[in-house]
Amino acid sequence: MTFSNKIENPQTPPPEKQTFNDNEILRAAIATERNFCNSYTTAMLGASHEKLYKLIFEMLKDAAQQHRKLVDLQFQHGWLSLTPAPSEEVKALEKEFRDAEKQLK
Amino acid sequence: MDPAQSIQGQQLQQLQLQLRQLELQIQLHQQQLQEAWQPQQPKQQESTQPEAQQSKQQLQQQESAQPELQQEQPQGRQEQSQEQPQGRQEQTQEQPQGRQEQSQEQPQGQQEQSQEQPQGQQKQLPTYFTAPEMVSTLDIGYLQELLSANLLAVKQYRQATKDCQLPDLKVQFKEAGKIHLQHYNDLLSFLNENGGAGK
Repeated sequence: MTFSNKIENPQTPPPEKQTFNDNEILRAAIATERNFCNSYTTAMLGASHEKLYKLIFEMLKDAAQQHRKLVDLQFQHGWLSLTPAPSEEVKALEKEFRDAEKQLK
Repeated sequence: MDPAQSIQGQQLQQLQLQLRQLELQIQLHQQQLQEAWQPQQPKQQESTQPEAQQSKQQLQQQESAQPELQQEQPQGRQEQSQEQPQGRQEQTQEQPQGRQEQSQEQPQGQQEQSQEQPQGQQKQLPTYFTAPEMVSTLDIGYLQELLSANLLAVKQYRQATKDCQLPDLKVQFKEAGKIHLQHYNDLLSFLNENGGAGK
């Protein structure tokens, strides 16, 4: 029996339809912007001096704005649905932290 | 040889007088420094270094002018070393009076700064109040990640602009691609300004 150096899993047969549709392209773009926001935040907080910090901070704002615009597009085309929380939960949450506010006085 | 010896004696006395003046001035200056706010020190030291070297050179020139004085130089140095501890005791004793002396002798104070360096008691490294502009080793890692991500994003958005069919998505993808290309160029120009090799 011969041993090969390759370590690999059995190949999954590629799906029938290989191209993205517009919804998937948009989701991929949103994921990209989200990753950019994370990378920029990490780099900004680790920047060695103020000029680099400001440079990356401006880029972070751009990426976050792009993310917002893409999500708005997603919503406009009906690919994103929002569910309002029940009003009891909202009231309960507010009451919980109204009470906790007394700790700060 | 009597006149020569008398001349040497006079010069010795002059040197000793100069030494005592220097030490007094050092005491006064140290008292000033104790009361003064500390961040002012580096500037004073920088500005006074050349003058201090000049005074040293003057002393050396005077001493080297008469090679016969070499026998008597060690005495001068002993006096220095003997008088220094006294000077410090006087400092501690005269601290309350020091403020009065300062107010009276402020015009001398500026001269006194010049003689601080020869003792070399207070050497300070330069203090950074903010980090200087540069690319640190940590920054290299972050910049590499950001550059490669932006490069990929530009390609991705160009492909997305081609592939998608809805016009509003096309517009938005084009804008996003431009923004990330701009980021890519900004990061490159930052590297160029801070130690890069140019275009």
